[in-house]
This record gives sequence, C-alpha cells and structure tokens, in this order.
Amino acid sequence: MRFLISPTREALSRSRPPVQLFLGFGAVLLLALVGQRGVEGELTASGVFERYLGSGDPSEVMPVAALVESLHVSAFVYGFLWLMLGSLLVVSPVRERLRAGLTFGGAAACAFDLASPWLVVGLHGAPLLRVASFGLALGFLAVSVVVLGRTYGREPA
Amino acid sequence: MKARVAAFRPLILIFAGFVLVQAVSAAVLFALKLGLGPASIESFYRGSATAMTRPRSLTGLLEVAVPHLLAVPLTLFIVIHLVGWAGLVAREALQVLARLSFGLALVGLVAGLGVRYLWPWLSVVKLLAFAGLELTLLAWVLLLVHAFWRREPQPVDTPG
Repeated sequence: MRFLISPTREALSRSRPPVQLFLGFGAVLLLALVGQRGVEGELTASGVFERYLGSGDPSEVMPVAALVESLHVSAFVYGFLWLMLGSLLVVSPVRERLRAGLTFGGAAACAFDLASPWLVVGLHGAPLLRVASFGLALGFLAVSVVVLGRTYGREPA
Repeated sequence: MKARVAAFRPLILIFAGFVLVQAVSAAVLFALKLGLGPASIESFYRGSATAMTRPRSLTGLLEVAVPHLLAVPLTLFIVIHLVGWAGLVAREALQVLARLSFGLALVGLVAGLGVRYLWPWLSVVKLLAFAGLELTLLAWVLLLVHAFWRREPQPVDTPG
C-alpha cells in the first residue's frame, strides 16, 4: 500500500510487475464472472426471466433469501474490485476525466447490477435490465483493467 | 499527505456504500435464516422436531464459516486502515473500536459452531455478537462517510 500513499516514480515503476499480475487475475475474474452468468442463464433475457421468475407463476419467483444472498456476495466483490482498481487509477498517469468516468461510472454500473435482480422481480419482467446491468459493470471493469495495464507505473505521455 | 487522502476520498465513499450494502444484506439474511431470537437460532443450528428440520452438518457450517473468516476480517482491515489513514479518530479510540470489531466477528463466527456442538445457550452470544458487529460496521461506515465530507483530514497513521 505504501506506493499508493507515496507514489514516487521509482516506487510505482517497481510495483508495476505485481500490479500487472493482479490485473491479470482481475481479467481472469471477469472471464469467470461471464462464465458464471452464462451458466446461470443470465446472459440472455429469456434466461434471466426463467432464473428469477420461473415460468411467470408467482410461486416460482426467486425467494427473497436467495436475492439477498446474491446481493451480499456481489457487494463484497464489487466493493473490493473498485477500491483496488480505483486506487490504482488515482496513481496512474490517466486523464482526470477518464479516471473520474471509470471510477464513478463503474461504481454506478455495479450498483445498477446489484439492483437489477430486484428490479426484474419487482417489475415481474424487464429481464433485459439484468443483462444490461452486467454488460455495463463488466464493460467498466474491463476497460479499467486494460487502462491500468497500459498506464500504471509508466511515465505520463 | 493531505492531497493524497483527498484523491482517495471518492473511493472511500464508494467503498463505504458497498460495505453498507454488505452489512444490511447480512442483517436481512440473519433475520431470514436464523431468526431474531435465541430459540430460532438454536433451532437453526440444532434442528427442530416441530419444524421438522435437521441439525446443521459440519460441511454446511464450514461452507459458510470459511469464506466469512476471510471476508469479514479483510473488510474490517481495509475499513480500519482507511479510517486510520484519514485521521478521523484518536489512535486509542481506533484501537479500541478495531479490537471490538474483530473480537465480535470472531465470537460471532465461533458461536455458531458452539451452538451446534457445545451449548444451545450460546445462541444468545451468537445474537449479541452479530448485533454488535453490525453496529460497529455501521460506525465504521459513518466514519468513512465523514472522511469523504471532512475538508482537512489530519493523518494519524500511515499503515504500509
């Protein structure tokens, strides 16, 4: 953490290899998340509808406990991911607008993804919201990983 | 140093939001699954003839305990680190609150196993430890939010 508090050029350059490895794992995590959503049928509107609403009968709606459990786990994952990626963005030579856009846009997209299952169940439909929220969250996370991979620990252009 | 804390303020606020969601969802899950009384907690762990539920298996208990033994201390560690870095509370108060948080987390996790395998009355300890941990988490979140709004933070500590 010291390199975040005292981000000298030397410290940042020295920490580039482990940060690159961390970002590599971040990319693997994103792929795993895509795989997980795919296996759960959450990459298509019809799959989302079936997962959360069953055939449409009220008795087949996903139980509240399952929804809360998913929220609980995802909040942990997204919270730590944005704290880490956002911290690295602070000390990376990227434009302020890009940094702010990725940090706030990404956090908002992840918050939307946390809320989307509740919206699908609450609205008893609109499954595309879930697909879109994941696409947005994934997009912001992936772009952040790529931007950090290219800029972290390097001299400003 | 102040400039560096300022650069991290938005992230601190975002992280506080996610921690709050974790704490609230944990409380809801606790209420939904274990209930809010010692009797229902005891029934959750040891099973109930009237509710026709079985005692929790060791596998099931460890499946919940193991990820929490990583996630809860990690969350507390980061939150305490951020609050200490922002210099919001005196070192002594920070240490007391940190020890209390970690202690309650550990007691809460172990008490579940205790209810199942040792003494049913530990359900009271489980309930109190969980409630205490939730309150300390709320206190940490409020301190993080305060760190975001405060204009001139005075660092107490700079953990590495």
